[in-house]
This record gives sequence, C-alpha cells and structure tokens, in this order.
Amino acid sequence: MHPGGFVRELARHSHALDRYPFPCIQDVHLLELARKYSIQPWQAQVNALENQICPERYIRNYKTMSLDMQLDLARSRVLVVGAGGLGGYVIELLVRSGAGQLTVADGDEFELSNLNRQILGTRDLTGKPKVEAARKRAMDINPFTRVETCGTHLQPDDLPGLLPETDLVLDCLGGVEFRQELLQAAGLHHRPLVTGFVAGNTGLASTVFPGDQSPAAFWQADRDQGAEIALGNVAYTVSMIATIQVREAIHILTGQDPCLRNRVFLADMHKCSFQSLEL
Amino acid sequence: MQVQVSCYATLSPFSPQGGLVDLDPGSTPADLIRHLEIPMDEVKIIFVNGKSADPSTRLNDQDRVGIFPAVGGG
Repeated sequence: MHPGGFVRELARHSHALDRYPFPCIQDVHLLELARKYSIQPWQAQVNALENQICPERYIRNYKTMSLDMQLDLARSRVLVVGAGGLGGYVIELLVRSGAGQLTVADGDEFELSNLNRQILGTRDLTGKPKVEAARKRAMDINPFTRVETCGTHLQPDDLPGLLPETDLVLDCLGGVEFRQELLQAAGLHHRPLVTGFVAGNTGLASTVFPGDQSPAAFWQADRDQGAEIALGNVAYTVSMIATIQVREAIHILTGQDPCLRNRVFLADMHKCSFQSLEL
Repeated sequence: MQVQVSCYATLSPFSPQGGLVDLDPGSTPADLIRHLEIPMDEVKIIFVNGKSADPSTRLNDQDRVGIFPAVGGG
C-alpha cells in the first residue's frame, strides 16, 4: 500500500524529456521512494506507470511499446523453466524490457561446455547454480524485476503450486524430457506457453494456448534421442529462438496478438531461411 | 512427379542433391522417406507445403516436404 504522499513524491522526482509526452523518473529516485514507503521495487515501478510516469530506463521502448503496454509488462508474472541457453537469453531480454516478476527454475550448475552459448555462464560461475546467476544478472540489469528462483529441476508435483501464480510459461528446457508434462500442466491451468527447441543449425519456437495444436510431436523420443545430443547447440541458433520466444511472450503479456499459435517458427540457420509452419 | 525436400537437424545428411526428388505419381511422404533411406522411427513430424501432414498423405508434383527428427535442445 502507498499513501498519497508516494504519488506526490513520484511527481516531484520525475522530469520531462524532450519529445516524450509523459514525465520520466530515474532508477535512483524510484528505488529511494520504494525504500521510503516500504514497497517492493517492482511494485513501485507499477505505481509509477499507473500514474503515467515512465522509468527512464524504458524510454527507448516507446513507441514500439506504449506506456500502457509497459505497465502490462510491469504487472506480468512469468515462469521461465530452464536457465541455460534459451533461458539465459529469455531472462536477459525480459528483464531489460521491463517484465515485473520472473520465477526461474533450473537445477543445473554451469559447466565449461555451456559457455559456448549460455549468456549467464561466465568462467567464475563454473560449478555454480544457474538460477543464482540468473538472479544476479537480473539484479545487475534491472532492480525493478523481481526474480524468484527454484534451484531444482521441476517435477510434475511442483507445477500446481507455480502455475496459478503465473501469467505465461516460457519453456526453455534443455532436452525433450519434461516438455510434454509442462505443456499439459500449463493447459490444465489455462496458461499460455511459449516453447523453444533447438539442435545445431535448426531452431524452432511455438506458442500454445490451451486447446491449440502443439508441437509435441517434435519431443516424441527418449531423453537421449533428441537431435541436440548428436548436433550440440550453437549460440546463434539458441539466441535467435530465445528472441522469437520473447517476442511472443511480450506480445501476449501486453495484449497483442501472438504469431505462433497453431504454428511453429523454423529457423534454418544453415541456409539462413525462416518459415512459419502450420501445425 | 518431382518434389522439393528439406531434411533438418540430424536428418540433414539425407537431403537429396539439389533438394529435388523424382517420385511415382501418387507417392506419399512415407514413400519419400523410404526412397531417401531415412530410418522411419527417426522421423517425428512431416510438413507438406508448410502444413503438418500425415506420412500417408498423397503428394503432388512440386510439393515441398520438410522432414524432422526429435528436437529438444535448449
């Protein structure tokens, strides 16, 4: 809760910027107000946007994203399952864009072989939990994104506790395992899911709302049989697909139309060819 | 008749030279997969002209066929 004093101080600490039809507020002032009024930074960001005051860090999102869309994103709660190749880039882009609350689940620790593509991985973090890297990276980029972590591989029993508190699921799993269970659970809880899956030069992404056609046929294999086992994963395919996933997520969270319902985006990074296929 | 074929990920080595295959009229994706000697159990999903299709679908001249194995990396 914030008394009227908070709103008055928001206005006092905001400033006009040339060419923008709303006042802005700098991080330092918004964080100070959050501290003073004992509210979480993500909540202070929501309050600022509700009062048509834009945190200055998002100024270049405008006009691609209106202030109302920025508010939708600030209010959003996203579950990111996997903080490896896809998940790292997904978290990076969501946090920079202004997503309000992320829950990040991954039970892995960084290995040297992750560093070819996983943006959260650095030399000093080898052997350290990926979710801790995600939390630190998010805080370093944007203190107005609240990050909760789950440092274990999600199990089916975990999902009924997580999904009701989530607006959208990002499936950033590594391997075919658990993808179908996650998709089914998201459907049962009436939550949209945006999935990405890659192997070598082949990258795919799809958006699934409850009842939609799904790309689950791609995952019909034992855990050691996905093409990624033989082909590995490279940075340019992984980051391309993560980008498409975030494009879909932000459009959904801000009330715009997703492109990939009942479809799968295919990036053939060998031929530099991109298609949207009908499921 | 002639169809244009793209095989992806681990199936990429089965892609025909020039991407084109001559098939008997009335052939299906299953016939095409046999022709290319792709192990059927490695094929998980097929697209014909950009739309998911059954292996028993009847193909037509100049159709575009995409053949995928299991993909799940991240």
